[in-house]
Amino acid sequence: MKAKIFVFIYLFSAGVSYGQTDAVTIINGLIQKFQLVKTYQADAVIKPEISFLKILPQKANIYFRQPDQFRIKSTGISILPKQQFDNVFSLLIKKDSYIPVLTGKETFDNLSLSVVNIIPLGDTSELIMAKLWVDDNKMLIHKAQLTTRANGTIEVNYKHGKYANFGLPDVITFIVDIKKFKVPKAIAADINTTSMSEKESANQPKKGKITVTVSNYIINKSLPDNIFNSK
Amino acid sequence: MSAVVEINNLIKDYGNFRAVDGLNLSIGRGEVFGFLGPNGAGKSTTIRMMLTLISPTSGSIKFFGEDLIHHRNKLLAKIGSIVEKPDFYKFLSARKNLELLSAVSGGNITRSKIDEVIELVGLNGREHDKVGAYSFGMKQRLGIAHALMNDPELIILDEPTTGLDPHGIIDIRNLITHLAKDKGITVFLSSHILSEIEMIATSMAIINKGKTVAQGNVKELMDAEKSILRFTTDNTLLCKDIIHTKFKTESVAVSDTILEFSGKSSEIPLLIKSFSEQGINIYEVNKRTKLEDLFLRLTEN
Amino acid sequence: MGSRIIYMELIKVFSKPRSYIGFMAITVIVSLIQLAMYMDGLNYFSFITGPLSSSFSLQGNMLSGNMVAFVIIQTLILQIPLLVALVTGDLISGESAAGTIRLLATKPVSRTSILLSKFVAGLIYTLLLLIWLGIMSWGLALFIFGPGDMIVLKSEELIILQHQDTAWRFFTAFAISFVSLSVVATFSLCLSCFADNSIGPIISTMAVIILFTIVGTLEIPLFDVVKPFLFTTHMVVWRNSFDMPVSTSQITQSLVIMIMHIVLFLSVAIYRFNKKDILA
Repeated sequence: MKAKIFVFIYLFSAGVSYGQTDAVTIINGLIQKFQLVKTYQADAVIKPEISFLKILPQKANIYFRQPDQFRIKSTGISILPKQQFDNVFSLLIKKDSYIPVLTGKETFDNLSLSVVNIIPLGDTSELIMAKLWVDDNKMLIHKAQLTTRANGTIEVNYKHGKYANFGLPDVITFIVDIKKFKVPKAIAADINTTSMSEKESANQPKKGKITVTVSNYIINKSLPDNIFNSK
Repeated sequence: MSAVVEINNLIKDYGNFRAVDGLNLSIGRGEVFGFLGPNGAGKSTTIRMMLTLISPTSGSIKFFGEDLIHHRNKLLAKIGSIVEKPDFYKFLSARKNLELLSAVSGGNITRSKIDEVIELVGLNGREHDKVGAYSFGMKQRLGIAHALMNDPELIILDEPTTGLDPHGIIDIRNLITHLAKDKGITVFLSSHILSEIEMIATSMAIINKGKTVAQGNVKELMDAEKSILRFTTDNTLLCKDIIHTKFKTESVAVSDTILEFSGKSSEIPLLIKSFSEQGINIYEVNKRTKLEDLFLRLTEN
Repeated sequence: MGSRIIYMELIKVFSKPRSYIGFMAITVIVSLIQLAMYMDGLNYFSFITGPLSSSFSLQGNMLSGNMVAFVIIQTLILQIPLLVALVTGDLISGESAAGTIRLLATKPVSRTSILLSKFVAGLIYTLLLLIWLGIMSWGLALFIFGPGDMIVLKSEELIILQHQDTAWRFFTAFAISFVSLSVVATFSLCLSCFADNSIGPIISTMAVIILFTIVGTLEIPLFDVVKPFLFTTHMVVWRNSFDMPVSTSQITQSLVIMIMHIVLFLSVAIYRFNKKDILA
């Protein structure tokens, strides 16, 4: 009996170790690919689809410099989720702050992807857990799910195209939890209309989507400091 | 020739109160027509109806033979007026007031015409001052200037000499006479100053409680009315006796030499003859016509 | 003769000191708001967008000229009608009080012509006041804060308009506001025909606007029946210029209703002015 328990524990640990080992390989692969790009700039079109928000797609420019300098510049107002699209990689490169665990394979977007859980070490991190769906052949993340303390769960979907070799996506879709939006009437612009009924209010979607379409990447070209210094 | 003003059976009711009660008037061309009546007789109401400020309850008003209701704009273009106190735009100068009002006065009132009327009423030199700074008398002059600026054929003046000094009163009186006599303008003059009416009016009407109680030529009305005859003689006692015996009337010795009594103008020659026959010397004979007496008699309740 | 009478009325309107109260009030109030926005506008807007910040990050210039202009115009929505009524409510009753109505009413022009001239003069005044508001609020805001996107905050949703999409909306809003204020001008002119002093029509106009606005705001089923008939319900339709998409049918409907109110009030005014015995 004792031997059976011992074998079980050994095999479990081995399995966990094997899962960890594979997860580490995947993470290292992702980081290696990530580090191919020292800088990039690109054109982006940000299109929010949130029930209480009406906004036309906003054009913007994205700038990135290793290891974690990121800036979005637009002529107008743009709406992004609190976790921006560089957060996954800026999380991954701090290897000693988390444990990666490979949990298996899932099909997503007609692809068989490895699912890696990122478990942060320590209790003080804002991130509770991250889950990555990775094409471990091409070392591309197709989907990420980030569960945070303050902002609930954010799902990020990546579509890759001609910049896949650099791990740079063409389309990034953020799906976020949204709280009910309500503003005091004194500030609102529509004081003469009747407000939504409770039933209508209850039928409002609880999730919002922001789609960022990226194009015209300029990769590994030197970027001036003032891009990242100015607000 | 048709009358310049013809009012037939004019009635104005305010609820149960009848302010004008079947008024009839007829005024010929070139007349200076005096319009008299006690307070509340209906003078202002009549004038306001003539100028379409108020709608009559019934009756008709005609000017120059045409009905006022159907030819309002055409007829008012020929009429100038002052209604009660002269109110103008206080924040504008006199000249500016007249220029603005010329835009709605019909016809083409030129700047030179405005200059002419300003000078006529004695406001030249003050025409650029704001009306708010004017005295009442100056506003009255401006009112007359305004009434004259469209070369009217008929002028309706409601107490035009109110607030004027004696010079002003004389000026206005002379102006009215000049307008009527020399320019053939018909003047409709409402006034409380009976001596003024007596002096300048050629015809008049007295109204009371909304009705005409007397109308006609001023001279004829005065002549028909008994006047106060005043004799200055050297024997008032004997004169008093003669008057009492021969004319069956009483007289009053105002002083040792002056005697007054009520009598007709036609009696004066006979009186002079009677006094002379008795050897009384007659130094002065005066006839004091009292429109006031006529007025009071006709308008007493 | 028509244009001459209108010109005469305009001279009278702009010769009165009270006609400049509206322009001065707009200058002072809007300048103060612009200054306050310059000093502390970002805090103001961050408060407004607070409900969003839990899930989203707003990037870009929150304090654009378009945003500030919209806030100013919305803030002054109840005050501007008063500034209009201050002048238009005086057009007939002011002359009655001053006695000058006698001058006009004895002239060889119809009372209808006089009233229509005053109506047109009132509209011209309203238009000039609105243009001044546009210059002070929108023009000055663009000058101080620059162009940029704007956030329109509604009770149930948020609209973000891109700056290249705002100019035509502002012009549309001002055009609609002109019709709205014309309703106020005509209403106060109508009341002016019933009074012999200016205070009555001006205060009555404001009282009616405030009352109707309160009725329009309260979400009581009984009031929902009358709301479509209140002109104040339609006066705020200028805000629909900043909707996405813009509901042209709703705007058109409100414009038609407001024009009908103008015709109604003007007809009553003409009738009353023609029938009125001028005793002043």
